[in-house]
This record gives sequence, C-alpha cells and structure tokens, in this order.
Amino acid sequence: VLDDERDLLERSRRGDLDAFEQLVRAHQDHIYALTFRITGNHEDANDSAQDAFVKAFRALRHFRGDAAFSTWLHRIASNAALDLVRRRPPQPLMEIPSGLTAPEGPEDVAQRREVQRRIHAALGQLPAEFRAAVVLRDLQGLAYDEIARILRVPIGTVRSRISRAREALRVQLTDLVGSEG
Amino acid sequence: MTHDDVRARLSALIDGALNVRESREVEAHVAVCAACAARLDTLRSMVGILREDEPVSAPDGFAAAVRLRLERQEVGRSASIVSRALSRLPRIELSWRTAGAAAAVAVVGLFALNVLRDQQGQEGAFRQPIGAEQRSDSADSPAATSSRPAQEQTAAPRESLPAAPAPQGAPTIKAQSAPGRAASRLPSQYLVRTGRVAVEVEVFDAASRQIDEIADATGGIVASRSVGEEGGVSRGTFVVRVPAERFADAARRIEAVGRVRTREYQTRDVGEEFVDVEARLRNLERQEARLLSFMDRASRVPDLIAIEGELSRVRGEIEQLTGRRRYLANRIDLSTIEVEVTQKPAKKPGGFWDLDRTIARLQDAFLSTVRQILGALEGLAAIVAALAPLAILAAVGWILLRLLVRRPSSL
Repeated sequence: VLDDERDLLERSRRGDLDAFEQLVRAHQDHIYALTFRITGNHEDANDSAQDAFVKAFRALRHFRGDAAFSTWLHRIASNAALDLVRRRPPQPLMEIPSGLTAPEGPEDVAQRREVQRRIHAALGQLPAEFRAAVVLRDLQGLAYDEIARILRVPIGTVRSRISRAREALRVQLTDLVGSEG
Repeated sequence: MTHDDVRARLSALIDGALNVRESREVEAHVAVCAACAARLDTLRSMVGILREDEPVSAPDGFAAAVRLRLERQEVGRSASIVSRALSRLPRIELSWRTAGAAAAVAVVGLFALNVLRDQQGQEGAFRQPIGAEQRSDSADSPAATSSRPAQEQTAAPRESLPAAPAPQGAPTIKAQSAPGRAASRLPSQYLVRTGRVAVEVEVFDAASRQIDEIADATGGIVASRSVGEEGGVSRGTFVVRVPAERFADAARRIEAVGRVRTREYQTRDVGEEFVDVEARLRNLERQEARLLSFMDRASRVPDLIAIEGELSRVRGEIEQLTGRRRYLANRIDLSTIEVEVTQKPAKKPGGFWDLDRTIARLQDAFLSTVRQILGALEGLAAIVAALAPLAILAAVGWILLRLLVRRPSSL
C-alpha cells in the first residue's frame, strides 16, 4: 500500500490528475471527517476539504516525504478548516452528521442520534484550537507527535490542549458518562 | 505530585503519553485517591464515546469536485494569487485591511463619480491651465501661443498656411503710418491684405483671450468684437487689425487658436486706385490754388461768388479724397483678419476611443477628488475649530462644577 502511495505521489507530482484523484479517494473520508469536526457543518467542511486537496496538489513539490503523506494532508486540512473557522463569525455547531444508517431498531437509532448531536454540539463549544487537538486525537486517532506536527505546536501543548478539551467535554456530557462518585 | 498535577495528567495517561516516571506517579495517586480514580473513569468513558462516534465520510462526487477545481486551476490561478497575496498581509490586518479597503473604495468611488459626472464639464478643467500658459507666452514663439486644446491642431494649419500673404514683399514694407507720406510708396506696396478665418475651439473664453493676446503681441488691435451664445454654444466674431508686415505671423497664430474650419485670404492691389486718388488730389490742389489766385484778382461781386462756390466744391472733393487716401493707407498699413470663433459642441464620439478626452477626464476627475478630499479635511478642521470654544467652555464649566462640589466635602 505504501509503495502504491509513493508511486501515486510521484505521478501526481508530475501533474498526473488521475493519480492524484486516486490519492484523493484514499484520503477523502478521513480529511472530510476532520474538516467537518473542526468547522461543524457540511458546507464549510466540503469547502475546506476541497481547498486542502487543491492546495496539497499545488504544494506537492514541497512535500519531501519526511512525514507521512496523511499527516501532511491532515496539517493542510486542519489549517484550512481552522482558517475558515477563524474567518467566519462564531456560530453554534448544530448540524447533525449525515449518513447514519445503523442497523439497530428505531429507538436505538434515535438514541444514537441524540448522542451524536450532543457530542457535536459539545465539540462546537470548544475553542477551535482545542477542538482541533481533540478531534485529531479521539476522532482521527492520531498520535501526539503527529498532532504536534500537524498543529505545529510542542507536544506539551498538544497534551494540555487535549486534556483541557476533554475536561470541557466531560462537563458538557456529564449525563452521558455518568457523574463521579 | 499535587491533586491538580494529577488531574492535568489523567488525559495523557489514558493515551499512554506520559513518561514512565510520570505515569507511575499518577497511577500511584489514582490508586489511593477515589475522586481522581472516578475522574479517570469518566474521562475514559468520555473518550470511549468520542471514539465510537459515527464516522463521517466525504460526500459523493468529492474527488470529482477536487479534480474539476484542479483542472480549472489555470483559470483560477490569478484569482488565487490575489487572494494569497491578500492573506499574506500582516496580521493586524483585519482592522487595517478593512479600513484600507474602505478608504480605497471611497477614493475610487469618488474618482469614478467624478469621471462619470464630468461628461460636459471638462472645459472647467481646461480653463485654468490655459490661462496660466497664456500669461507666459508673450514670448514671440508661435508654438507657445497655442493652448492645450489647440496644440493638436497646430500641425495642420502651419502647413496649409496661406501662401498668398506671406511672400509678396510683406517683409520689405516699412511701417508708414503717416498717411501724408503715402505718396512715396513703391508700386508693390499698394497691397491690402484681408483674411477671414473660422475656428472651432474647446473653450470660448480662452480663445477670446488668446486673440487679444495675439493682437497685442503683433502690435495690432482687436478693432471690434461681437460675442453671443446660441443653443448653448458660444460664438463670436473678432476683427483684428495688425500691421501688414505681421500679417502672416498673426494669421498663423490665430489659426493655432482652434481647429480651422474655413480660411480665406485675399490680397488686393489698390495701387491703381491709390495713384488715381493721389493724382486727382494733386489736380484739385492745383485747381484750388488757381481759384485762390483768381479770387485775389477778382473785383466784381458775381465773379467772387462764383469763385467762392467753385472753391468750396473743390475743397469738399479734396477732403473726400484725402479721407479715401487715408482709408486706403490704413488698409495697406494694417491688415484685417476677421476671426469667427465657435465653441466646439459637445463632442460626439468619432472613433472607438478618444484618448485626449479620456486623459482630460481622468485628470479632471483626479483633481476633483483631491479637491474633495482637501475640502472634506477642511470641513473637518472647521468643525473642530467651531467646537473648540465650546470644548473650552465645557472644560471650564466642568472644572468649576468640580470645585464647587468638592469644596463642601473637603471642608
């Protein structure tokens, strides 16, 4: 898979749009999820994810391969999404993720939807930088050092941001996680 | 490690992101502290919920949309360069950029407004520079006489200048203003030069002033002028009299005042008439002398009366012919140029683009904008100046009030 990606990268670098389209397809869900969680709505998520891939294609010459391609993409995408969030006026993040086709019964579905909505709303309450850190960690499953590279901050900062973000989420979602004894 | 230190590290503990010593210390604390243990549990389940969160996937056609944008990249590049350049402005930008953009929009808007508003008003802009140029052009160079709107016209008239008045010995004429000495004229000098020129000008007043100056500079006068307006277009007729030897010069300068629509130059040889008048004058003068001598010798009253009658007739004829001779001499010495000046009507676009007009409008609009900005600043200054006395009064009043209010409390 990695050799495949290296090959596609090499071809994309030479301007091969077919190769790049394959790379886009391979990473689009991850990247879209990231921009969706940071921006909080599908429209902005779509915009910034597209921006990220377009920028990535143009900057491919500068990608030296000393980090994983996906890390590099994450960095571009989270910057694009954060830029967008900073530019727009603050707004509640209430859009519910689409594409929930869980096989459970209707009650189950309704309940899961409610949880989703709560999580999403709680994430929306966080400052953008904290949200980005916790999204990269808990929803994208990246390691601390990767997050540090993506956000271009020291690992200690990543740690404290994640910690404080989780703490804020915990307070907001107390009823879901149960209060402490 | 304090309670707070531990709590700050619980999150990292879940991720295994603490170093060995730290994690050992935190675990040791959690083992004995029920509150921190509970906090760790809730945090863990919180993270669990987050991680179970329904994955979000990119919408259908996402990759195709990206590709489409990349294919259009070339088209969009210029726009993206601009936006990238904008986004590279320093970070304080937001307010500065907005303020700068607003100011730029205001200035550009003002400028555009002036450009648009200035459909017919361009003569206003011309008036000043023409006046200025004219004052400085009393030097004899004919090129200097032409003001800006006329300059474009100078080339043509100069080439097509009337051949008639210039060569025919005009330079050899010495000014002979005294009509009495006209008898000594050479035959080639009995020439009356007249010209009739119709010019179209941008600015009527400027042209009128220019004609005055031309008359002045060539030692002539504006003998008459009639000026009127007709359908919003100023027109006027000027009769300029200039010394014969400056005729060509004056004609050239007058033609440079505007665009020449018609020109007509005539040189009339009045030598025959002049000689005839002089001969008749000489005869009459001799006749007069004879009559006077008869009168001396006459003794009878009827003879005297007859001679007297004849004498007064001769005298009258002499006066008449002297007047005619003076008139002819005057026509010869001072040439006449009749100038018909018409203001150019609002220009209709001839070609696709009239560069001069565009430049004139831009210049005018630019100046108006500068003037308006200065005017606004002036207004602002005036407002400040107007408010200054009030501010002083208010300050004095406030100080007095404070003093009055304070005094009792300080006692």
